[in-house]
Amino acid sequence: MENLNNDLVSIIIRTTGNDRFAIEKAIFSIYCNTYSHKEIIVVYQGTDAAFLQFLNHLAKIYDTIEFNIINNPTVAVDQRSKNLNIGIKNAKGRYIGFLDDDDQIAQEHIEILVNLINKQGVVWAYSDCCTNIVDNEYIESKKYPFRHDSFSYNNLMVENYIPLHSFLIDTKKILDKRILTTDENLTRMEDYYLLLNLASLYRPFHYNEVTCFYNIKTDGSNSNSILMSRRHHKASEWKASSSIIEDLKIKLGASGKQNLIGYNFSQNKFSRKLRQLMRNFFFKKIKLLFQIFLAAPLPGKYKIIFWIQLVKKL
Amino acid sequence: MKVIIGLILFNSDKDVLFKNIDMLSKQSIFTSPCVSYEIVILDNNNGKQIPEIEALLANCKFKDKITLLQSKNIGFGAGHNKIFNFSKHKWSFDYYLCINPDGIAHYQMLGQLINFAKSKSDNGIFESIQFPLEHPKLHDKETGETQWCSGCCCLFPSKVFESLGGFDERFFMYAEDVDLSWRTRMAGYNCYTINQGLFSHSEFSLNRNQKSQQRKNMMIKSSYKLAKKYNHKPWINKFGKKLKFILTESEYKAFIDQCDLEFTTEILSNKSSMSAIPNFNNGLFFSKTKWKI
Repeated sequence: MENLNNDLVSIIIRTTGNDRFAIEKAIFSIYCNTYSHKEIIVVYQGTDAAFLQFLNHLAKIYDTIEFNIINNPTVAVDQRSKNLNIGIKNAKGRYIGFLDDDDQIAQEHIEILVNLINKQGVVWAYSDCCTNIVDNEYIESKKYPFRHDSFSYNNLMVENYIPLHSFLIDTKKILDKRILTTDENLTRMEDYYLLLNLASLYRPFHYNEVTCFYNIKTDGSNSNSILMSRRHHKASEWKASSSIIEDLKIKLGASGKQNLIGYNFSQNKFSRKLRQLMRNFFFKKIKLLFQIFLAAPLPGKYKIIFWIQLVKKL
Repeated sequence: MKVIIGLILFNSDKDVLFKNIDMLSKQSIFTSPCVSYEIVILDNNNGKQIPEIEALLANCKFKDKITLLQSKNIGFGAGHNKIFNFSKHKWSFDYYLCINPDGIAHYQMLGQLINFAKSKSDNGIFESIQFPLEHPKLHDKETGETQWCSGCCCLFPSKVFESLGGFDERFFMYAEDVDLSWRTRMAGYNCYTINQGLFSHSEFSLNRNQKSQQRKNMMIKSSYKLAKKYNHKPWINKFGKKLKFILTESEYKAFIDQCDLEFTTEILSNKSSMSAIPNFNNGLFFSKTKWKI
């Protein structure tokens, strides 16, 4: 694929150094990307000298790309929001993307998004993401929970359906760079905060293909585990973060959920599914009537009258 | 211990190729003094890419480890056989790594494959896992056993490759790896997928529709040949019909005649084991899949 330009792309990875093989895979997936001019910024929160050494070893292996290792030595609290801001602040690239330390991007992910940002003249673009259910490095199944037809700001206001590593931002086109930060009080959903600010000002382009992978480990060793017990443990953190997010939503002009266009339909998966079923049923009904009508041995003008009446009724 | 790494080129992307060679030369297993390697690259397009590759490698530390060969387009399997035979006359080696030029090996990949092979006393063939988009074919979570190994990135103990006679050169591209895997299992060895051995393989492209059509046509031809080889009548009929759609009448006749001629003399030494292993029940995946495509 043709590169429209060769401006630097910065990909930010935050890690606490829990799973070396996972971060190796994440970095390897960036290295393998076909877009050549890229830098990896690893923000490591921790104090393990051996892990820092390991990161430096990786930087030597992947010496054909720029590698920036930043250490945040705090261990007492989870500073994921601060780490995100540190990463963004240190990014030298025109384009900024993100990758969690246990996820991966496909070989052409960056190239596709950079080209789309330029061709479509947008500030940011995102692609679809596939979820891998992983048991001890073995992918058991795949799911597509983030798949949506097109971008909807209203849906984004309801829930975050755009994973952090599925989008890329062209910082050159952003006038107020303050939107490229997240609230450092957040211990969850810091990416959602960033996205809401970004999406409130700039409409993205959605690339309707999977180019990134989101891993959920069945043993609960990554933060988005399907084991609910782990989530319950962190319920208070979720609650506090949710409150900050709700405040942001109010600030952005959507003070009450009921004010959002289409909220009643899109607030949960069940109602979305119901709407889809109703739509399918409606179109199937029309299609069937039309087929019967075409097959009926009626003169042309009666067919037209019949058709007009049918449309009026519906 | 010596490893030969074989790559076949045909108008390959030079950036990906260079990254792949760079990573192959940085394999962590090569830090061990008792492990050595040679990379043999065969340009199947009459050597048209060789000057470009020579220029790319001019300043590399590992350029003396690379041998460049050229040939007319003899296909995938025949190309690897040629590299294997060339290497056999030049060096004594323990393993042959067949690897695609359009992917990139993780720096620990070869070590993972060799360690796994050793744990199985080299009795089998060992493929790396395609990353990040994994091939959907099923492999056993505990043992790594699988129905067949992809030729995309596969380690062959040289004694196994030699005893099987290498790839069947009648297949130009696709399905030769399935055939070799079936023959491996018929010979009493096993096929394995190694979860920790990562090979980044490109599956995405904005012009993939065009690519996939070419790939599909090639796949149909090879599937017909595979069915002919193992005398699987339903597939002979199915892919025979498909061939009529993708080939002109004269091309179709020539292809069928050629296949009839090539596969009539097939001697199947052990019919009972043969019938148990070839699996035509799962379409072109040749195996049960882990998820729906």
